[in-house]
Amino acid sequence: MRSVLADEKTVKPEGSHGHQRLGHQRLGHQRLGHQRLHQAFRAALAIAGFALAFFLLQRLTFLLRFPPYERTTFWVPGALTFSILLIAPLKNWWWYYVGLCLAGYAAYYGDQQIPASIALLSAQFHFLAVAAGVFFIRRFAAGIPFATVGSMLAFVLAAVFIVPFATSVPADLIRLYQGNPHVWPTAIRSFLSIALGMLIATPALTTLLVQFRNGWQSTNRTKVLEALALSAALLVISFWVFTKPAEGNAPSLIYAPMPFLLWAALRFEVSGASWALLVIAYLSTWNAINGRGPFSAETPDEHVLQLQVFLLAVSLPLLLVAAGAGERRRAYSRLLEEMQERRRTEERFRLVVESTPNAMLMINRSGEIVLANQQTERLFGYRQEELLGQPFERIFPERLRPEPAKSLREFFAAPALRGIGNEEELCGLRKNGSEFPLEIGLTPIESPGGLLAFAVVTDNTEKRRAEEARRELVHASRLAVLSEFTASIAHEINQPLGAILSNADAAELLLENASPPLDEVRRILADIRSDDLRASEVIRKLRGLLRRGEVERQPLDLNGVVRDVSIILRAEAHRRGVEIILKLSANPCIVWGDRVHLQQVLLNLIVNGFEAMAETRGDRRVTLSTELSGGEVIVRVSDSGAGIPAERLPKLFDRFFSTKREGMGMGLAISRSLVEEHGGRIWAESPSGSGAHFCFALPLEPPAAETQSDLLNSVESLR
Amino acid sequence: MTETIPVVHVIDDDDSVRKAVTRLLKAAGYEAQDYANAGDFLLAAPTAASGCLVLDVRMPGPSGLELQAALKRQGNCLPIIFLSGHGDIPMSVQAIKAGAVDFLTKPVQRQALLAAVSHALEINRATSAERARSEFLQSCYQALTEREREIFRMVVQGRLNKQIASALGIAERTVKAHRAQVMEKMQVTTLADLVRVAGELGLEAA
Repeated sequence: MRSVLADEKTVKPEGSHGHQRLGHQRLGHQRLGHQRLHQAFRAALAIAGFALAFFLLQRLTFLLRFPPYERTTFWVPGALTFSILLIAPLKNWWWYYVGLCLAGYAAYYGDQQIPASIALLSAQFHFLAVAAGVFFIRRFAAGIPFATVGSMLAFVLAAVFIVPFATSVPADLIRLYQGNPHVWPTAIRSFLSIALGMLIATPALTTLLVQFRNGWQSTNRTKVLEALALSAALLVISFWVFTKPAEGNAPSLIYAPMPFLLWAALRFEVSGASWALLVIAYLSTWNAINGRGPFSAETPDEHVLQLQVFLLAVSLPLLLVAAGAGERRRAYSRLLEEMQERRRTEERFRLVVESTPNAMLMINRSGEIVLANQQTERLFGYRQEELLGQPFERIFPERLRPEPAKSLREFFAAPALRGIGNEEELCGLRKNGSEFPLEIGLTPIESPGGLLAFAVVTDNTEKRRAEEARRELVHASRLAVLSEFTASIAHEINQPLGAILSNADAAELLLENASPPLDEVRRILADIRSDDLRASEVIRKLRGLLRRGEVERQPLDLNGVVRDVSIILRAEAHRRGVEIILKLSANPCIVWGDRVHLQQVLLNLIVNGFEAMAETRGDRRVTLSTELSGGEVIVRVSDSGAGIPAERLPKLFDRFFSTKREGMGMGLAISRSLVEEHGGRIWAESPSGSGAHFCFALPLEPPAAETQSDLLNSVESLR
Repeated sequence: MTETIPVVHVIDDDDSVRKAVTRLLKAAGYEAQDYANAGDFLLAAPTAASGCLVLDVRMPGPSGLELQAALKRQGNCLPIIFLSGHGDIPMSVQAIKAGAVDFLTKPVQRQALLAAVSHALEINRATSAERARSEFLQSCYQALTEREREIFRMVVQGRLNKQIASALGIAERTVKAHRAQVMEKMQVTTLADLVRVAGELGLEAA
């Protein structure tokens, strides 16, 4: 027995410890010959071990024969075949087939009643019958045998009907063919004997083999003590019940072991029940043979049948109860594990939520807050209890509430990561009534109670403050640049004003004539109007640049931006003796941007060009060009100055880098940040001998339907 | 010289300003001519002598101040009124030092402009008259012989005929005849007039 089981350890198909260890030892000199030898050795060991165990069990079973029958009350060796085939991989079955043939032959060796050929033949039948039973179980109950009531039922069907039938019927037929007169009386008993043996011993042997194969798992000490106590109690009561003389024995006494059997079934499940049944079966049979106990009074025929019926009646329900207990325990522990896992997950989630620097809220479909972390308490000044169950709009100021509510409705209509409301304006409301800028992202989270919105709240106070400071800086820099040519701008406005005044004076004088030349006066008035428009245009452009407004992104034509800036700088260019040349793309160069900021970038670059040409003797030209190229608009500001040394080019756009004596070094840095804010890039080139080129590229606004509708909207709003 | 109508030359690169100022001057009864830059003026009226200039200080090409300097070098003494977009004091000082009649700031008041123009034309007229007389005296002086010029100089130095005669070694009667000739050629009747003419001609004690 031991050798078979030890062998089983190495036979285990994949990944057993023993196998792996052996594999490791062989890895160094992994030669096919060695492996084959190893395989052959294992096969031989398995065959020998199985044959020996089968033979011994057979011999043991013979001891329990009721004379004069050659059959026993219950036949245990078949259970060994059944157990091994249940757990062995199909490719190793031939080992046990060979072992069975050997053991079958050996068991009847010297037994004059049965010829060797019959012994061998019945071994064939037995193997086929067990194989059929195993296939049946594997077909209807996958996984660990006896683990569920279902697989136990499949096993019971196989053990009680298929295997006994397939094993005993051919043997009976052979006997009948041989002219044996006692076939029929023994047939029913041998059928029941095989069925009982299979039923009672297979679960015990299988669990034993599985435990051997997997290595002994450390068992709970109290469990071991309980098993010992149960064994002792069962042995004592069984001895008492089954050794009492038949006379004066109450028939109901045979139910005395029942509580202990139930104990075994409920606490030790299938293996416990199986072993307990084995004990009862052996003790009852042994005592019955020796004329003791409740089954000793009648004729041997009656004994066997009574005993078998008794054992069957006890075994069947007990094994099913045991399987049920096992199934329930496993289901329960699985449930427990799942619950613990879930609790751990929840705990992890809670830790994450509590330890993040952001305020986090969970909001259900009806807009109520179902979770709020500590940061939320800190940020809004509420305690968690004050927030839970409240409508989440409570954390927004009254006037802004419709916006988040709408966002939440949209979120639940199409759950996906999204923000709330207008990020520029969204504010939170603290308990004390103060407001602060915030940003909220919503993430869908599935929970047992339905879909929740997981809201991550970011306090934008600092960000908004930084943005404000930056806007101030940008504005200040714009003013600084503009202040450099206040004189020119004043001149630019003064010129048309002067012309208007002189024209008006002239008209006045003309009207003093006796016959005033009215045509001339009309021409004068037309000139006055156009000069007035000219002055107001400059003022309008200027006012746009001086304004410290919000950033207003809209689709705009860069050609127009370039033209506007060239108007503002016309006088300054004039003063500096610089000619401004426009080379604008014939196609509209629509980008998504803020007009004032883009004008500021151009202003900086052009003034830069002016200053670069301060010392230039020859032609002073600034060429402004726009060009569409690969989904971008490229704007170039080229001067005819001395150019920029190559080593300075990369540093030009750094903050506080200036080549001018009185320059702050902010103009180009600000230009860069403005361009990058528009998703563009800015750079400088200085090909030798052709001045410096300052360029920036902005992504071309695709003429998508959306943009067009935006354009229409902005046109609408202008009206 | 014959009387010519004075012309006000307006030079400004800004079309509307130039047009308006010219219009105003014309309405005020002046003859006015406009030019977009200094070059146009020099090409169109190189020898204009009667009139004045209304000149923008800041222009592409030669600036107003540069034109002023160029005209001065040529001996053209047309009075200049500067117009400036903004009252630039150093520039106005420079212009006035160089002989500008006035320095006006745009937008220019009608009274200021017309007064300046009338003043400038006055100056122009005066200088023109002065220049005409000096040209006349010069031509009279050119008509004198070498001996007569010698005697002219000595007479206005206050020498007596006798002294002149002895200095030149000629007869006193001859001196008298020359002296009468000088008086006649210089178109003066009295010694006092002759002395004044000498002064105008710059014949001092040389």
